[in-house]
Amino acid sequence: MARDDLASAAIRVQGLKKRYAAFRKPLDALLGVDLEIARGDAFGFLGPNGAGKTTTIRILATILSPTAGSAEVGGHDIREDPMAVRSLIGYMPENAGGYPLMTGQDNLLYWARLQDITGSGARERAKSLLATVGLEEAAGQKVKTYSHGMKKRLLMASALIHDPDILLLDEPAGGLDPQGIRFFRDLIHGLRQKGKTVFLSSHILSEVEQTCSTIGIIQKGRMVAVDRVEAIRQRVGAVAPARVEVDCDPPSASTVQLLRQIPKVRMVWSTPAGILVEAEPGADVADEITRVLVTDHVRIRAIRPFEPTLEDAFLSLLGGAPS
Amino acid sequence: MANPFVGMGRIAWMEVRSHLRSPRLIILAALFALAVLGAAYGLSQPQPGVFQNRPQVFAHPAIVNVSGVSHYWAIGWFADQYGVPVGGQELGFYSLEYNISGVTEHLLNSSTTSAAGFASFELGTGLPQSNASFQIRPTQTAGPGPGGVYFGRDLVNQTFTLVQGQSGFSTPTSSQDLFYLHVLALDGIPATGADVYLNDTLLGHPDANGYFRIDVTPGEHTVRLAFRGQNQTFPVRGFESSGPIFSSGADAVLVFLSISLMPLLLPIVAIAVSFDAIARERVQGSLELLLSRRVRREGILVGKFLGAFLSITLPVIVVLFAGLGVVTLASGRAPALSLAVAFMLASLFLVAIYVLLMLIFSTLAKSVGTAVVFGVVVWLVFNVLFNFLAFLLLFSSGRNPTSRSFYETLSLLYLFDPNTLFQMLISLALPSTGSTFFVIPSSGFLGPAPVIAAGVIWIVVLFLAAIVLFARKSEV
Ligand SMILES: Nc1ncnc2c1ncn2[C@@H]1O[C@H](COP(=O)(O)OP(=O)(O)OP(=O)(O)O)[C@@H](O)[C@H]1O
Ligand SMILES: [Mg+2]
Repeated sequence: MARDDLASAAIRVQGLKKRYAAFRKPLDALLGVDLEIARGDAFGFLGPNGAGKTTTIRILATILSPTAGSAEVGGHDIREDPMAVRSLIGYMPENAGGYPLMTGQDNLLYWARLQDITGSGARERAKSLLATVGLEEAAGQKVKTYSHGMKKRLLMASALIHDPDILLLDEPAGGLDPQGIRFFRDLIHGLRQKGKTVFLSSHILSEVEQTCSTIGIIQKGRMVAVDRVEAIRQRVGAVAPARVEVDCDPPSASTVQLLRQIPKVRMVWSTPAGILVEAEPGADVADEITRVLVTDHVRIRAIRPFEPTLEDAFLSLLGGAPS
Repeated sequence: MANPFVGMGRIAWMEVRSHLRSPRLIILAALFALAVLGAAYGLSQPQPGVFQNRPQVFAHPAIVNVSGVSHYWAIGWFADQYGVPVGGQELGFYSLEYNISGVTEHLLNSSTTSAAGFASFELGTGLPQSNASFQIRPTQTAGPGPGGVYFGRDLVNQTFTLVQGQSGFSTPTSSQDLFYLHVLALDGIPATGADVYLNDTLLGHPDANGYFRIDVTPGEHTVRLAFRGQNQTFPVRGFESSGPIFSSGADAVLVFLSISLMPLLLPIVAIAVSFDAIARERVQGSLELLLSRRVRREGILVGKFLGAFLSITLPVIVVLFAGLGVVTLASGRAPALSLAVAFMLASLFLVAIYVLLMLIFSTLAKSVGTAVVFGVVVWLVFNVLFNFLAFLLLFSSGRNPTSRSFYETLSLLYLFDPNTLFQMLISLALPSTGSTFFVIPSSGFLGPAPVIAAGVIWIVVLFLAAIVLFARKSEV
């Protein structure tokens, strides 16, 4: 029934808008978000606080209804067939717990029942998931006794209880220690290997960089960039300023003046080790800098063009975004 | 068509399970049981009520012929209404004088009753003036029932004098309607030879003290007294069991419970169990998890309702059945089946209303604290404020509180108050001989149709409101 291109997209979002109708002043959290995530892809959803990440994920999880636009998850429209969407997704919220007065295991069994998994199948599934997330020993404890990290692990297990094809994870590694972060990274790798589609939001750029193949950056309710990780990194070249770090003797004021006059150079700073030159995005000014310094007899120990990181990409894209 | 209530059963089951394990429900159920069973037992005990069988003076005039001279006497017999005499009681004989400022009494003589309860006072040989009034009563001022003594012109032609009375009483366990006679021959000797007929059937003769008692059955009767050629007849009316308390003690207890206790307690139990049904889930974040699961919004809400409703009605029904049992055992009689059924159904209705109200407010509440406040406000509104405002509204509209239209309007207003509606629903099942003994807001001004319709509308409207509101406001 679903067309091929439809079937190949696990998540498709078009012109998604969300207005929170508060009493006095309504707030536009999403101003038209477009996304397309292929099946089996891992998508990293980046953005500063309040950008609209949670809002988008909640709409995809059929918790919120959008004000305008459309979204399909697994080929099902979230408005027309939310129940089909709910069967396909595993949602891990940002700040939720479970039922604090129930044990971790009972929480899992409850979510299993709500997904029509019952009986011994549910118990086995719960047991193996508790082992997977490292909560075997705490399985019989009430959730109110869990630490933040344990709650996150339980939430992950809850999201996986019905073996969903699409995972919507809202800051899964938020507030975790390095070990916890590694654990989640490995878990997500494992999911990808099983062919699951993973949609995760995060503040931790390195986390996204390592687990995701595609990245989308959202700011103030608009997508600033959506692309493969490498492409984003390349695009940074077009957006982030080019920087060259030179280890050398301190140059004289006239030398600095000459450096500033190099076409496309914006700024020159002196550093303890030498100088730092910032030029327009994409400009290759290293050769020209070398020429000027050599001409003025400044001894050069090393010259390093800066490779733009994803962090730079993130910040520069945000900086360059229309607001 | 797709089932709109997917997930309902599972959520309801989960809710029931967690409620039955929570100390909250257990404590509430225990308190509820204590109140209901205590009231059921206490109310089933015989009550010293309207009627008190206190001794009174049966006072007679008498004429004793001593060698052709008439001596006039006043005779007082001090006994209770079952004819049990009280000896050793000092009785005073008073003359009464009526004037503008009231009555003045003069103690003429006093005497102590014999073991048979008699005390007599001689007036002398002259027939007292026909307008003279005398009274015999215990001399202590706060004494029980005095008896008047009159010397009519035709007293000399009578063969006997007579004091009669009728008295009814009831307790939740029994009721009695009795008619009694105290007959003395003209000379003051108990008329043991008199014949007492009830509807022309000879019942018997007064006892050694001249006392005779008839237990009256409902209906019109004629009692005839015949003694030494003189007859006197009295119409006696046996009172129809007037209302629940007279027809069955168990019914009365049930009605009392449903007026005074249930509208107070049931809402408290219902509110306390369900006030945070949604708000708690919202605060602890599980609502968000629930909303992303394979359940429908309608399923969540109806599941929550059923869960809270069943959790409450389970202990409530047990307690109410136990209450009916206590009433039945203590009063020896089961309440009317229709009343018991109406009592149960109306109680479930009341619980359902309050659970739905709480689901609505719980959906609106952003925190558990707000949910608590909403719960208290809802209870106050229908237990205190509603009555007050209803009357205020009617009075301020200038209606006459003694007019029928005042009560018709009030009844209509009460349809908006679930507590009174609950009482009206029960009143539909009152035995048809129902009396005004209990001030139960009767459906009398409206009839059963509007009352039942109002009940159905309450449930349907609240249900729809709760579902629509939840679907719109459940967004975390
Ligand atoms: N329930 C709500 N009612 C009103 N406004 C909301 C609500 N939830 C979020 N917002 C607003 O919508 C905007 C987007 O919020 P959202 O939670 O989606 O951001 P986010 O990207 O997840 O942020 P964070 O990184 O801090 O989690 C914010 O301005 C926020 O204040
Ligand atoms: Mg967020």
